Amino acid sequence: MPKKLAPKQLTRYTKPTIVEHIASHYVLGTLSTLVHNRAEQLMLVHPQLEARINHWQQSFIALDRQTTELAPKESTWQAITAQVDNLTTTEANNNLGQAAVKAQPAKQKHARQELVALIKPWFTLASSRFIHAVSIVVICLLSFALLNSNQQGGTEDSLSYIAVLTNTDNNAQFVASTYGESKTLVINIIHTPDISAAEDLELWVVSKTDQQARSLGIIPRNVAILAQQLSAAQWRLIKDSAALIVTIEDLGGSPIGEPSDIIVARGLCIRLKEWQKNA
Amino acid sequence: MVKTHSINILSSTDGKQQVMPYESMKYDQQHNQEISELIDLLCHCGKGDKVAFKRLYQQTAPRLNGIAYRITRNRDSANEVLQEAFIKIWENSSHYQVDKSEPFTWLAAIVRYRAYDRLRYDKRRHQADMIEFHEDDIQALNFNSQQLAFKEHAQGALNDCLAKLAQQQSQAILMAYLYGYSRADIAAYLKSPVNTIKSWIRRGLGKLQLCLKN
Repeated sequence: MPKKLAPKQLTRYTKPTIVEHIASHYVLGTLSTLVHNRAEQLMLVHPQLEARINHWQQSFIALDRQTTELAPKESTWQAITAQVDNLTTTEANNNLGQAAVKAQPAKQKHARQELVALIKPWFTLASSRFIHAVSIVVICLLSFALLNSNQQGGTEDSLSYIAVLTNTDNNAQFVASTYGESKTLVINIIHTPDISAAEDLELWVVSKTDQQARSLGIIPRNVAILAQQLSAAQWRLIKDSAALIVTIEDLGGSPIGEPSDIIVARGLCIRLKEWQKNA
Repeated sequence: MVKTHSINILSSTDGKQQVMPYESMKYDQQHNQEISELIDLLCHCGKGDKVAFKRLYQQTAPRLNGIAYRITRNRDSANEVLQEAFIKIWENSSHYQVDKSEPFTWLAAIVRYRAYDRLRYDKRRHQADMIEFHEDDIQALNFNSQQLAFKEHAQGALNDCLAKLAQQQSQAILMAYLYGYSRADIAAYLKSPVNTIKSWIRRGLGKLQLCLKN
């Protein structure tokens, strides 16, 4: 297992080179939508990143100023005003609602707070039980589906790829399997590596063709099994995969769309039909 | 007939005379006037002034629509991008900060990122006809990056620096910024590996940054 790292070692976007990378690619438009959105969140808490983004935007604005003008359609302004009027009305209604809440007597507010304090522990317990119950149901359903598909000779949604992701001590941490027909990725989380509240685990697929790692998303906390519907693009990544890796990233995932150096588990992707053929 | 440029002479503190081309000074005046007008309009929009919002639209929409069209290459998509962008401008105008960004830069950025998103959504980046359509643009772009360096106004700095980059570096950067090409699209177009494109862009941006600083 990798050593537990202090959160500050993971805040890569505070390093000038990383900040420059994110800022320049953000402005150039070469970040994926996911990473672009993360950068927008990071801007709110990292003024240095915001400043560099502004700097790059200002540097490139000359290109936008040189762009030929194009008169918009008349209907565009009409659509904008209609939407703005709608927004203004909604806002006004919301303000009225908020004013009504503020006008509630302090006594009533206090009583409500007491009630929340009373039910909160029960709600938390119920949530945790609910998560476990849902996990068990999902495991049962998936096991049933797998058994059913085996009984039918594997013709329906058969297991197509599997990867056992192990840590540096060769202990299995995750088992990732994909089902060809439904293009579903199922991850069994055997052991969750220790991460702080400021970190997330992110799953990556390493391409056979260009050896680049591309994200398959964040692995949520407190789940034993995760079933994820893959998009057509993600399915293509799986078909071209050499290996899967799980890394520790800053909360919300890698800010630059590339995995960190902290790889907690790695496993080769095995295509089952080939494996069965060779066996 | 030879056109002559009149110049303005400015005196500096050390007694030496500096010259500033008249066109350049005129551009600066217009630019500053535009900045103050747009700041004023954005401030009013932030307070919910719809008249100011309309004036802001009238003043900037053709330019912003041009930017959206440059990226989406579709009039309908460009108009939809413009519409979404102006809603965002209305909602966020109270957050605009004068000290952080020039108003037109702020407005153009909103439109540009929306247009990139739209392009990804439409998945039009991968269409062969679009690549062909851009062929002329990119040739023109190389020509322009040489020509624009001679323009007599503040925009020359960027063009000058772009012209100093290796052609592949400036081409990759401009394809991404101007037309929203992804690195994979640029790789396919220039028939080079994605990693090479990443490297061209990284090095190009590094050189650009140094050049602009100087």
